[in-house]
Amino acid sequence: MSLRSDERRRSRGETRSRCAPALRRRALAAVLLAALVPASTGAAPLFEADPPRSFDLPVIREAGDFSVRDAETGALLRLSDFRGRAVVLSLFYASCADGNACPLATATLRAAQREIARRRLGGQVALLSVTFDEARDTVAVLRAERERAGAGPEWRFATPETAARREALLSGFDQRIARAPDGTIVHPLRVYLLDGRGRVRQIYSQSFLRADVLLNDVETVLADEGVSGDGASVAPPETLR
Amino acid sequence: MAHRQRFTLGGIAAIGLLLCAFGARPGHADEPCQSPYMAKIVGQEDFLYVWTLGDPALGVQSDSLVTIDVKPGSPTYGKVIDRAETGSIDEAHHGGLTDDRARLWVGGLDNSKIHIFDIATDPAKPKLVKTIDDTTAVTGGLVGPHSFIALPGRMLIAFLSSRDGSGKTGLAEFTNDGRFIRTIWMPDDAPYGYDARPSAKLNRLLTSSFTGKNVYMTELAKVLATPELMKQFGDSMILWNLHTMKPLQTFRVGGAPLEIRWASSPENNWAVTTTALGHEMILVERKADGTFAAKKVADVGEILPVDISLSADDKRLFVTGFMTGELKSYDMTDPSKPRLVEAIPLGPQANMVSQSWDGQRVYVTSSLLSKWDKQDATWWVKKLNLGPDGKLVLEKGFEVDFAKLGRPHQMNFGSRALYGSGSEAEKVARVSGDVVAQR
Repeated sequence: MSLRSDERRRSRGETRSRCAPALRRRALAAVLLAALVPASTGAAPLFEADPPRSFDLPVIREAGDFSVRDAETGALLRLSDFRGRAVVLSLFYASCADGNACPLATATLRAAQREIARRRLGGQVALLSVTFDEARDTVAVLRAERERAGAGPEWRFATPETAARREALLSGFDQRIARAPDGTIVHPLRVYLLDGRGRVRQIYSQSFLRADVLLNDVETVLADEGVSGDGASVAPPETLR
Repeated sequence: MAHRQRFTLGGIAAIGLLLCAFGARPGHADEPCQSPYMAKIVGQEDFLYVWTLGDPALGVQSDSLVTIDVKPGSPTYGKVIDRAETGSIDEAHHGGLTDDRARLWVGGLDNSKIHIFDIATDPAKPKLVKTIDDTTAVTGGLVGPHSFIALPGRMLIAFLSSRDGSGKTGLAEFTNDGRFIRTIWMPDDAPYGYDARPSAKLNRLLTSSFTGKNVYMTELAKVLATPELMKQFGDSMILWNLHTMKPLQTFRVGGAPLEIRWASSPENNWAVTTTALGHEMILVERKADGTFAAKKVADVGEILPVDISLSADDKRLFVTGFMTGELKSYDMTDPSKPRLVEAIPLGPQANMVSQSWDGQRVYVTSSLLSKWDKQDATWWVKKLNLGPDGKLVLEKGFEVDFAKLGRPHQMNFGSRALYGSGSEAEKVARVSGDVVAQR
C-alpha cells in the first residue's frame, strides 16, 4: 500500500482536524488553511477532557535549556526566560504538508490561545512554536506563519538559527528528525507541555492535541506548582501506591 | 483439536493440557497493531528483528537480536544478516519500538533486564546502546518486563510479576532513552498483568492478565501437576483512562486473557483478545454511553492461543496455537461472529505471529518460554503469503533455521525508509503520531 492511499484513508477517518487530505507540497497552502479551521468544528470527540487537577502528570524529563531567536522581535529566547510559567512548545517545520502533523499542532495552539484568554490564564502560560528546519524557515517565513496563525503577544515563533543549535534543542527533548530525498522531514508529531521549572510534563500526539485537553493539563501543572517558580522541593517521580 | 495429541511433555498426561492453556507469551510485533503512536511501515518491510533466547543446549550462550533480510530481491533475502548479543541469558521474550522507531526495547523475564537497541543509525545492524539491569529496583518492585508499548516520547511497559514471584504486578513508564518515569500498580482486586494496549482516539488503555515468575519460570510439567500453581493465573482485563492512568472498569473474562489488539478503522471502537486457559475469543466493545462491555465471541479450540494479529482493515485475525503448532485465520467482518477461515499446521509448536501492514505477509516464530517449550520443538521463523483466495500459503524456501541461533520469540519490522534514507521513502507513514490508528 502506498503512502498516498494510506493518507487518503487516514484523512477520511480523521475526526477532528478538518484538513483536506494531506498530500504533497503543491497542496500546501490549501492544507494549511484547512488545518487552521478550529478543531471544535469537527465531529464530536470520542472522549471528554479530564477536569483540571483530577489527575497527576508525572515529570517525564528535564528539558535542557535552549536558546532560539524570536522571529518577530529578534530577541534571543531561552527556556529559562519562561521560568514560573507553563510553556506549550511545538517543534515543527513550516512546509510540513501532513495535515495530521505540524499544521494540526499550529491549529491546536491557535485554539489554545483563545482558550487561555477565556480561562483568564494570560501571563501564566506561553506558547512557543520553534522550527527544526532553520534553513528554509527564515525569519520571513516564520513571520508569515505567525500572521497566518493569528498569534498574539504570548505566542512566539522562533528559530534555532543554526544546525548546531537545532541539534542541541532536539537532543534536549530526545527528538529526532530525518530528511527524505524529496525534502520532506520525517519526524514524530510532538507538542510538549513544560512546567514552570522547565520539566516536561506531557507530550502530545494527534488525539490529545485538543485545546481543552491541553489547557486542563496546563491548569493541573500550574496548580501543583503552587504559584510556580517558588523554589519548593522537586517532587520525586510519581509512584502510585 | 486435531493436533493436540502431538503435545508431548515428557509423560505429562494430556488431561492436564486441557486445563492448563497457560498463557504463553506472544507478541505484539505485527505492523497494524503496533502502538498507535508509532510510525508505520505501510509497504514492504526490509528487516525482521527477532528477539531470541540463548540456549546452552544449542551452543548459544547469550540472548540476541537477530536481523533477517526480508526484502524480496535482495541478495541476502531470507538470510540472517546480523546477530547482536546482549551478553547474558535472561528469558528473552518481548520487545517493542519507540514512537519514533529509532530504538527497539527488549526485555528478559527472568532477571528483568531491559536492553535498548539503536536501529536508526543502521537499520541492518542494530546496536545495543543501553541495558537497564536494575529494573526491579527503579520501578519499586516490578519483575518480568513483558509488553513494550510506545507512548509519545516514552515507553509503557506491562510487567508480569513482582519481587515475591507472584502475579501481583504493574505498569511502568520510561523515557525513550531509558530513564524511569513512574510505576502504576495494578488494582488489588485484579493484580495480574500481561499486555497493555492504548487506544489514543478513545483515551483508553486495556490491560490483561497472565501469571507471575513463580509459575512462568517453573517447568510446565510441574505447573500442570501443582494445583496451587494452576490457581495463580489472572482472569481479568482492565479498562483504564489513558490520560489519567486510572482504572475505570474490570472485566472478568476468565482463563488468562493475553494479547490485546484494538481495531484501527475509525468506525470501529473495539478490541479483541484470546484467553489462554479458556481458549475463548473475547470482544471488548465501546457502548453508546461510552462505557465498555466484554463478551465471548468464539471458542478458538484447545490450541493454547498465544498470539494474535489483527489486520489493518480489522477484517482478519490470526491466532497461533502453542499446543497444536497451528496458525488459525478468522474473518472478523462481524467481530461479534468471527468465522474460521482456515487452520494451517506449522510444526510441533508455534508462538508469535506478525503480519505486514497490507496483510500480504505473515511471519511466525516457534518458541514460547524456556521452561515450557516442548521437547520436540524446533526453532524457526516461517513466512506465509496471502493468496488471491484469501488463504495463506507457506513460502517455500523461506524458513530461517534457528537451531544454531537460539529460540526465536518476538518479531519487529524494520525499514530504511523510516529514517529518510533509501529511494522508497513512500512506504512509510512519514510522521509518527497516532495518525494511522485514526486514519
